Amino acid sequence: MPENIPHNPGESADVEYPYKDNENLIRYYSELGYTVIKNETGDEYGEAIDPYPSKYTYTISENKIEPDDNPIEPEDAEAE
Amino acid sequence: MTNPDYEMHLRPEEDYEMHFDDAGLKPEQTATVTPDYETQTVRPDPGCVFSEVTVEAIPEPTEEIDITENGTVDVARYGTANVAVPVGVFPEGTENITQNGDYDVTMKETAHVEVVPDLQDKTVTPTEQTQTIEADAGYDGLDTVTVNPIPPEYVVPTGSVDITQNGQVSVSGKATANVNVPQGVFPSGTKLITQNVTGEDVTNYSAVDVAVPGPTGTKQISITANGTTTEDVTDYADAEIMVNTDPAKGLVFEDYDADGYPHSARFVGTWTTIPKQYAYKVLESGFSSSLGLFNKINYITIPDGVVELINSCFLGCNVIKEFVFPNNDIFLDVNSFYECAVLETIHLRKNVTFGDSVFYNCYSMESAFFDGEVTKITSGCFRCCRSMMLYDFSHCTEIPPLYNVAALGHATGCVIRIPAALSDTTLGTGNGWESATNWSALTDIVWEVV
Repeated sequence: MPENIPHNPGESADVEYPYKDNENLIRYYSELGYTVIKNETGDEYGEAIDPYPSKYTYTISENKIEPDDNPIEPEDAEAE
Repeated sequence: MTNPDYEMHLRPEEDYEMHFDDAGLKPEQTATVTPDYETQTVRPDPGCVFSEVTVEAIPEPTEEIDITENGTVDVARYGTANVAVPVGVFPEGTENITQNGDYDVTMKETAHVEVVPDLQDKTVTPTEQTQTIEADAGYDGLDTVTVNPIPPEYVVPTGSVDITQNGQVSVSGKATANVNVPQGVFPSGTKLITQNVTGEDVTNYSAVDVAVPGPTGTKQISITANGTTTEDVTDYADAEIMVNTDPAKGLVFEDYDADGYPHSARFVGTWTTIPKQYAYKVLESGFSSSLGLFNKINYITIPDGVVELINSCFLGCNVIKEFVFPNNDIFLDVNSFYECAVLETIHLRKNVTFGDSVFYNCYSMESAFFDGEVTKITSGCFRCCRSMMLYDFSHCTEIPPLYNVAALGHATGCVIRIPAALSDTTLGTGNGWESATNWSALTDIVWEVV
């Protein structure tokens, strides 16, 4: 996780598209390790992966993702 | 070369003589002979005589001979000898070698090897320890090793000791032991003991086989009154605890015989009331495995009325296969079932709200049934539940947000059962459960619409 980069809650979430080479998915997240808020519902996510194009928008929250909550892939989790 | 018409005998020079018949007149002839390595005979024609025979000088040899190897070659008949013996360097001299090592004797005809090892003499004095005597560095080996006599501080065993009965006998300082134990009756056979007993005589047996049957069956314990109750479950393998919902009561398992397993349950006033909801919650660490209380209990019924299991309530209870949840809404706080390693299934009978990492590391969990609503799949909620094969959300009326992909642990081919009313088929592609945030990224599961 990058350090010494100012965190600005309320900014739009970072975007990864296509997500893992899948052009049907788009990922919203925070490079600085914060949760993201779905603007339309208020739900909070560690990361948000939606079908592309997404009908939702996301904003970076003030809540830091705990080290154990980092969005990891299922296969990574299984390897633990 | 020889002319058959002539006859000439070449002999030593003093024998050369020509004879002519001077009495008559016969035609004279002359002849010229060239010497050869073969005898040649020259004769005049019939009726003729030689007036002169010229023997030419021995011709110079003109033939050539090729010589390709050393040796003695007769070259008398040849005018030219073409010598083409391969030229090389021939070993000569002798290499005297007096020490071991690698030597280049390529250019030597002979090698004289006479290595004399440098040997060492040593002296050793016996001690209580084994000593290995080796030559010092620089020596090739040992020549002589002198072993000194045993020092006076060591006692040389002498004499003998007589032993007439079994037991431990000191033979220190003795050279021999004379054992003469009278023969008697020796223990033999196996004594079988099938029940607990003390003072059993096993004098004449060489072995004892203890096979006392263990407890079997399940003791059901139901406590409804305040106060202290001790249930003896000595003869049972398991205890089924039916916890009452009376306020101000709790439970503690007792291992009264200190064998590591609980055999009785003593209920004391450790249940506390949650005033706002008029129900009960389990005290923090009340069920924690750190108390070592659940080694023989495979399932636990959480009584109706319990609406919250607090932080780490059942953390690490790795012998419990099933929890029976109360028939009311419940909040499962952070880590409440963290690493319940043999927990196989959960069945939430009413609405449930999860804290983070509730079932984190429940490796053996295979199925989860939700009869009510699920508020949210929280961070780490089912993470590392790698055996999970079925999530049954078919009773849900709303799609629970999924915190991230990793929050839903599962095996490949895991079935996620959802109600038809919330599916893409009913709501339209992109609007149903299959298309919901993060749920849409689960690519190795099977959607089952019911």
